Amino acid sequence: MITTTVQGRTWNFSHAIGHLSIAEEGCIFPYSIATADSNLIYVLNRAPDPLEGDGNKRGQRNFKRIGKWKLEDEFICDLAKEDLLWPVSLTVDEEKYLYCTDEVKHRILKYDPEDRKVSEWGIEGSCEGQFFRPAGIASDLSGHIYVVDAGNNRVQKFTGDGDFINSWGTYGSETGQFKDPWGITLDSKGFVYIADWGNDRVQKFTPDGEYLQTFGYLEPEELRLNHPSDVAVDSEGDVYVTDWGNKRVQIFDSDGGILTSLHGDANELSKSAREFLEVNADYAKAMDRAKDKSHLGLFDRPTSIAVTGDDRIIICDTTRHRLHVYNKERDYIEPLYNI
Amino acid sequence: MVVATDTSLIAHLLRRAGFGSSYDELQEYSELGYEAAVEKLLNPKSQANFDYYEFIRRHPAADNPPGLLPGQLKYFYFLLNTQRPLEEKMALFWHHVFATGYSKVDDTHSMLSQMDMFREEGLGNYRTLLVNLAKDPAMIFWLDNNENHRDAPNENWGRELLELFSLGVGHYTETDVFECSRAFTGWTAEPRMPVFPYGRHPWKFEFRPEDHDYSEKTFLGHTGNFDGEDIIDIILKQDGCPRFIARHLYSFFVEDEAQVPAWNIEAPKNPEAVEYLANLLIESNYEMTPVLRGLFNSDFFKESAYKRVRSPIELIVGTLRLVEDMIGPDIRVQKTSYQPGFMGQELLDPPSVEGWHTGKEWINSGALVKRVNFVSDKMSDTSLPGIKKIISRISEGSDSMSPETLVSECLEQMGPLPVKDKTRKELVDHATEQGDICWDENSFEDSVIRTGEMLALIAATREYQFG
Repeated sequence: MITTTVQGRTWNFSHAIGHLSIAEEGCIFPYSIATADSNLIYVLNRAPDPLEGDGNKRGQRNFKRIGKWKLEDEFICDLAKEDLLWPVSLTVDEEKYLYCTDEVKHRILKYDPEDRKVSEWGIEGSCEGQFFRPAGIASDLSGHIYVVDAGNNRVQKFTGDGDFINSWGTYGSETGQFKDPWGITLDSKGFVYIADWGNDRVQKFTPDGEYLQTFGYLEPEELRLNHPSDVAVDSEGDVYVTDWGNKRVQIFDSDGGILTSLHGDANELSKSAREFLEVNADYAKAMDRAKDKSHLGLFDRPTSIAVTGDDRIIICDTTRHRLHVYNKERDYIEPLYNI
Repeated sequence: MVVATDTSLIAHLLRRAGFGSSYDELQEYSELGYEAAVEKLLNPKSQANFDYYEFIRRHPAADNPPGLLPGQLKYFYFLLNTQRPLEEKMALFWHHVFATGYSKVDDTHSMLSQMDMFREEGLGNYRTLLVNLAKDPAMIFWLDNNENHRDAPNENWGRELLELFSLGVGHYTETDVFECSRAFTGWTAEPRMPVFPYGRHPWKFEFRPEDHDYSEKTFLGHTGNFDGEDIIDIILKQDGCPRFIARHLYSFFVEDEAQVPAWNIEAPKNPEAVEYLANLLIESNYEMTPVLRGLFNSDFFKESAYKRVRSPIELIVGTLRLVEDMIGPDIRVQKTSYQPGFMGQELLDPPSVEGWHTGKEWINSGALVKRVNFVSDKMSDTSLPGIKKIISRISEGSDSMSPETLVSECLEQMGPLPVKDKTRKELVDHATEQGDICWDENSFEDSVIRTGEMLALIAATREYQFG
């Protein structure tokens, strides 16, 4: 087991989920994750863009889809196969409804727990309730939906049915402003955290949009966030940021102090990858022959992050087509010395 | 044909040293004056390029493409969005000269890494390029140098290094090919990770001393215990080498030449120009930037406008930059990135190690229809920003204009594009069918449509196929 221990906290790498696959039982450019309960997750597969209706030999199909998985690496089903153009982010509300943003459609799509699309809202624009490239999405305990309206550099708050409530944010680098923001999460107290991608920082707000705090160091250079894409908060208030440009996850305490960084520990293959290699001997042999496996377990492009209610941290490694799962160990006491 | 004005000369420069330009870019370069514009192009690192992070955020499959299609998207995006036109044009030049194909390499990551190397070194030293190329995993696999062993030399890389990458047929013997190949034994690529289960990983050069032939070789009259870099140094001293590269440069930047396999039997169209470029290569010790400076400032270059058939990439990218369509992340880029392939220039996958056959060989009945349809479709789309600007400039300060003026204005905005009298007459005849064009409020919408049609008609002419 690979562990990372710092300041009385320990994260154990648990396992990887998925492998490159254009259909089921795998992922293709996983781009966002949402937790429905402690063992049920949704994985958004962004996939390459399709080439439809061209009539040419290269009729690449649309493999964009949302996969439904048990957290223990068990694939359940796919959904939304016909609905997605450039899907960005997922969230699940308290009633287990799933929401997905689409930055080409400029819309929010809503699915019931039986995976049926029940509604969608939004059009391109900059007025209230309109979007330009919606990105991150999150829900609170009251069923409100927060959408990062990336192209308009603001956050919009809606009812679960898509009725506009309020918004905040403008373009810029002052506090409360954004540059092409991306991911969003809420902590247990309802505070809102935004991955301010173009400003290399995460900002924390009250549910009404009042600025509270910034995460992310300017100095030293090695600790600086580089285009953070997503953020999550665990039950103890520790803040996890996918440091997208630096290919790592930075972990902060609730005061903004840096705790540590994760760089990926998935040296063991995922279950679906093992199963794939068992029936594809050529690839298995090639894996055996490969000389440099030093990058195998590392994050290649950590894009999205989520934390379950029991503090299991799930990281979406887009260009390695898999998820990394860590468990945060509770009540861990760091040994002072070994005998 | 001599292009007359500074602006038209700079438009010519931007078509050849880049991929054409929007009107705003043309104005920006024009304000510098010709020689300063050349210097700006020659110093790409002084210009910020497009936002790579913005690109891969919206096109995540291009971040590490698992297959050819998203790999082509990535390359196409670079072509379309580069703010360093000559860097990208030189990368395409070397991609054509050192043609390596996905069809065999089957590894987009390494193909794109090779393109990155061409961007990084393409304006630098030719020797550095050759050494890097000899160590490039995509090239090693493409030309079987991973099968080139001390006890069983494989001549594929050694032969093409001499025949297509440096000297040309007639400047070496079969013995030289064999001896050259021996010097590159043990230059291989380490076993790579497969694309499944976790996508592409970097592929690295590996030198295996136990597989390298350290014994004496005799190559092009020189004898010694040569390795690959020694061989490259000997090649660079040959008279044929600078002339071979100079002819490539002339054909790519100035005027369509015969295809490469015919070069040993067909003289250059402009031997003095090729000799001039060859001498620049020698004087600069194979530094490409001084050679290109000499080329772009030469009279033979300035007088070469519209002497080359535009390659599919030049045609498509030049048109899209002119009309300002698909600049930045766009879901249509993936589909559009296939268009060069439909017209005979498959990105990252040239048909053979010879590269693409160019000039009039770009044109056949199928490709011509594709070319005309693509550019006409774009030029007639009056919703595109670049077309709106063109129409705005044509209509500015004018209440109405004759069909002759409309044609002249449209031709001016599209190049300026010179056309034969017969072509001009046909365009004017078409415009005359609906009389004068009026720009008053009542007629404006109709006139916009008529202008779009005229632009599309011009894009469909024979002349627009040249650049």
